[in-house]
Amino acid sequence: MALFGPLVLDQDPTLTDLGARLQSPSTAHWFGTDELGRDLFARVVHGGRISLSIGLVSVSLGLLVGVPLGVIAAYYGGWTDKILMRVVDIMLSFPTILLAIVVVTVLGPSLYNAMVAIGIAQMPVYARIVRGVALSLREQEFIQAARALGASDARIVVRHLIPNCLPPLIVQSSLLTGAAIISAAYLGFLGLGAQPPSPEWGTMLSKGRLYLRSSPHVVLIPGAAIVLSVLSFNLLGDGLREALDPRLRGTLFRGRGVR
Amino acid sequence: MQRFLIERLALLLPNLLGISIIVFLLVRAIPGDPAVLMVGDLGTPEDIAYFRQQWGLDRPLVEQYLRFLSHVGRGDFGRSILTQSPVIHELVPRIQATVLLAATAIVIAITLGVLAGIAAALRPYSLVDHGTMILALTGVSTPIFWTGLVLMLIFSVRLQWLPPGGYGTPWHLLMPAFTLALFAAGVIARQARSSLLEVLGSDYVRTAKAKGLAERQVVSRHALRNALIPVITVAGLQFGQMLGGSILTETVFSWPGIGSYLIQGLLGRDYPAVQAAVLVGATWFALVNLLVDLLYGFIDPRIHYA
Repeated sequence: MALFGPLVLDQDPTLTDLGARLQSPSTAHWFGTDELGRDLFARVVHGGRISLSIGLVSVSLGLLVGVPLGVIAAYYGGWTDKILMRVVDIMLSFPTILLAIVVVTVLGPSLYNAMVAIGIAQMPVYARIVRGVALSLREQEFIQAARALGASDARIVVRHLIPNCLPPLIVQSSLLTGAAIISAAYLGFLGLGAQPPSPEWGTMLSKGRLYLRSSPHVVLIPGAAIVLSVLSFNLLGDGLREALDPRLRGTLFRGRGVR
Repeated sequence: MQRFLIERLALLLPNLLGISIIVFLLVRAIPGDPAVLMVGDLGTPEDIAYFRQQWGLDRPLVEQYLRFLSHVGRGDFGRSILTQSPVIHELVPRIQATVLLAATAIVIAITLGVLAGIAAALRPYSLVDHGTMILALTGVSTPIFWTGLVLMLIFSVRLQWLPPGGYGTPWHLLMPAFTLALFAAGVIARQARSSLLEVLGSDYVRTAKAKGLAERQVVSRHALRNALIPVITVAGLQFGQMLGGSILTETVFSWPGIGSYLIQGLLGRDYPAVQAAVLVGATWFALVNLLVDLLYGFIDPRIHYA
């Protein structure tokens, strides 16, 4: 829906119609209109595209930086490991959203900076996971064998280490996509993320809360959109965890296969 | 035990020092000069220069950092650029407000979460189980501020039972605490269910059942105690993260805590205030983690900190 929305919808999500402010849901405007008379349905659908791209971009960014850091820490060990993990520990000792808020204030409030900030805030999680898996693999025989055969460090990392880190990474990526969407909504709500008139869900809510008393649909609908999309990523993450982790297989939805 | 405590506290110090350096640098990397903001548009370059000199903002970074540290050492955290008074005077009541909020929230979250987890684990794969787990997952998937707005809509706007914001009476505390609790309650419920299920399937629980103990006895006396250990870890982590959640909750309900102080400081480029607030947050997180480790010892007699 979010992917194909703009192809189907001809309403401009930023088109204002001051004569039709804060209308309740009707057949003309399925979700009603907001404080500037913009069609809420169009805005929520476009917001979905924004939220999906926030999720994808920040998670990719977190992976792109976090995975190499984790590999380097585990593979080289010693001081490299100590220093990198110290930094990761320090980053993990902030609540994620606090870290994202501080980073986005440094970069300046905008949608793209919000993506970067969330990606940076999530990075230590990936570094931790990869380091853990890589450490346990480093001394195993197939890695030793590859080394004995004369494989280069880069080849061992790419061909042997990374594939083994994939299952936990895929699960975390799915869960953290949901988390990234929520974080972006937080930043938008605090006025530090996407700026109006962008139809980002959190930004819409930060404006809409002023009309909570008179037109609650302006708050209820975008919020419900956030809950539904995050819920689906979390369900996906749970399902993937069950499918990919043999120890957990069958504990979540016994006898019903993977959802 | 004592040695463990001292070791952990000793480890805390370099960690906090690292955090203070990072925060110090990050805050100064924020675009916007507090001198320009405070002096205003009408200020001459001389005014701005005078302001910078007054606040030591013209000194080298290393000197500014050391001065900040000495203020932390003296316990006053420097003076706030916005209000001119020592940061500590504003910090203490705000810490109290946030601790009150977060403590109430974690109590609510643990109560709801553990009860839901037990209900789900006792009848696995039943309607009750699926229902509570979907509720828990929804709790984890809901943005905090939206929970707050929806509660506000129901209880303040429609029913008019509770004040929409502010601070002072238990009535003011109710909605923000529930708002902050919901996410943690979901996480705790999921953990409680899975660890209780695991324990219920273990040999010693079967033995207890085999010797004829009532189900209630087995669960409350034998299973729950062991199942709670991972729950405590998760609850502790959530309590640490609550400082992040309280930023949103406090913004929605205009709760005068550390979270809203931080946002206010960030927007006003109030370096000392932001530094103090973040440092308080990181210390909070570290202390909670330490407390959780200590709690293990009380719950699980096998764990000894020699």
